[in-house]
Amino acid sequence: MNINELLKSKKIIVCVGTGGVGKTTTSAILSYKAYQQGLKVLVITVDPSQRLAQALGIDRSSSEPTEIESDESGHYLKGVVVHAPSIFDDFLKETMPDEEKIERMKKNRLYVQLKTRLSGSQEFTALELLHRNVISEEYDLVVVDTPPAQNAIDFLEAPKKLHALFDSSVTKWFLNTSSETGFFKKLVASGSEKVFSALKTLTGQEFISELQEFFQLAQSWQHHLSQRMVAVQKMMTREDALFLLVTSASTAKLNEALAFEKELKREGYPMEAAIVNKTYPDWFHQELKTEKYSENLLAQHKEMKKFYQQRESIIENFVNRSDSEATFKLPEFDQDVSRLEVIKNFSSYLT
Amino acid sequence: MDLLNKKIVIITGKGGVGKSLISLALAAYASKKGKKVLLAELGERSYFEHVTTGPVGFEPSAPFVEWPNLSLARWTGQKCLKEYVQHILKVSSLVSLFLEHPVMKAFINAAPALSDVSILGKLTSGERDVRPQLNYDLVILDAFSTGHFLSMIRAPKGLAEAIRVGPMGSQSREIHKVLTDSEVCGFGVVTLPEELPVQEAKELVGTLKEEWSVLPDIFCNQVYPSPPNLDAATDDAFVESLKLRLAKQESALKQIRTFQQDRLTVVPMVFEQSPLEVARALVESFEANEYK
Repeated sequence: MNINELLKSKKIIVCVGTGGVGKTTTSAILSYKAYQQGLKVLVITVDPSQRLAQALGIDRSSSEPTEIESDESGHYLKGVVVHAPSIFDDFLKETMPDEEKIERMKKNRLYVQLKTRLSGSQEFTALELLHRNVISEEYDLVVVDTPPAQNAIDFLEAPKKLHALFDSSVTKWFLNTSSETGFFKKLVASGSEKVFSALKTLTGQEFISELQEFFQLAQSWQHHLSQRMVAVQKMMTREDALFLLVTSASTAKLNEALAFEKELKREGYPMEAAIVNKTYPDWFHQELKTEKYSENLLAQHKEMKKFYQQRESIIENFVNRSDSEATFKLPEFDQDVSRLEVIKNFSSYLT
Repeated sequence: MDLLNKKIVIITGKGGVGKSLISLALAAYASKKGKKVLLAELGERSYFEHVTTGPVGFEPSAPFVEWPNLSLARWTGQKCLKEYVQHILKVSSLVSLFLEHPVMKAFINAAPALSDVSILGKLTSGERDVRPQLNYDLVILDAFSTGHFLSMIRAPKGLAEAIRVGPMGSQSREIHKVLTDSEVCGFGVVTLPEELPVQEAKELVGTLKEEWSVLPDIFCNQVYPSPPNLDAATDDAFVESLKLRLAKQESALKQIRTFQQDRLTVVPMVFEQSPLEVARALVESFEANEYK
């Protein structure tokens, strides 16, 4: 399958991979390619560098998509950055009807910590943005970049983790075990009491009070989170949703990529396509034109050529072992992605 | 004070810039100079197992025959947290009851600050004189990449603010104190001689300076040698590419010097696919430059 067919047949593309393999850049390149095919495209990026955000012309602190480019026939490419705190605040507004409660929650120190530091808050908010923009049906294709992860499944597990935290049994436990006189007190097993007093020993009464307030306020989240979890799960298993494995061409990264693929497959998300980044420079497949070079330079050419030849066999090995139906390669570019022009140029290499 | 004369060195940088191999080379180099060194990596998967033949686990082991004074360990948040809770609660049965309680599990899973603080608690245990203590002359932490690294080192302060009283609060404050003591703890930022990684390194150095009053060492990795007479060479794709690379590299190094001049280490590009061969070559380059 060529890349254009792939882009046209999908509505959602999730770029997954470990850190530093070029996921964000690849997402941008793919999105540009899709836009060039005459699609309305949104790219959701996670934590892009200031420079890349600038190159794309998107605001790092807003969760509203901005236009990157558009043409006369009404096609466009938009981009948005995942900004966890503002999406959490949106979520508050959506789930808590009471103004006063919202204000109390915003002041709760636990909430302040959680909205930026909660494990999976970036993943959760990226999925939230994806969901929001997919159901709007404004776009032909939404490409989403994911936070760097050690485990492929981290991204998809994020809503589950949050859901587990706001599960009614957890909330009840915190509210009831801690109440001094409550009716439920009698129902609490002595094991729970021990655990609770251990928590109190570790953290102190002040923190416990804050925790209680937090769970009391967050009671209304549970319903919304489980609804969202089901919706996201459904969205990810759609026929027109694709997990795209992104990797770079070093031994360690290619091994990590294979482990990623295995893990996703085990969880029932088959990997259809992979992109290997930073493969070979343009000159690798060309002969050196002249013999007029200094010995020194020739030696360096020889050394580098050998280096890329070894890389070629490592990549070949990866392609043989990978289950992906299609593997695309991007060259090792001499240029940095600092302008939109560069992304346009890079996208022409993706075939 | 020179980086390798501190007790704790934390290495970070953008993903994919070569943090792990530079951490390994630094650790091996320091061990060759007679120090007892522990190199700790983080996470569920071991990178160093691909470099050595032996397994790398929570308990330190010395898998390199050529570097006998270098021990490796892999720390996970979960194991460090268990050790940490054990230290405070003392009673083993209570520790298991606590950590295995479904509500606590959900809570710990969702709040990474607890794991992050536990890891930093282990890292600083030798300095804070708490058991189980790490007895090494130097501990090098091959830390997370920039984003997670920042939230990790901010975690003790954040936790101390959320939990003002109680042992967890006071321990967090002590951990923060050790990490900000520049006599004890140093930071290394790894980058590549390219625009985006340098830009990210600059932002990170700015943050460390502003929030921590710390100026980290910079390691610029994969710097190409520049062959003489390049200008005289007839242009073709290889030479063009090399020229572009060298020009880009020069401007990147110049840019780094605008925010860190004294402690910039230029690390050569090693044209090898085997990570162990690369590490060996890097140790040699540290030796040749008498890195401190």
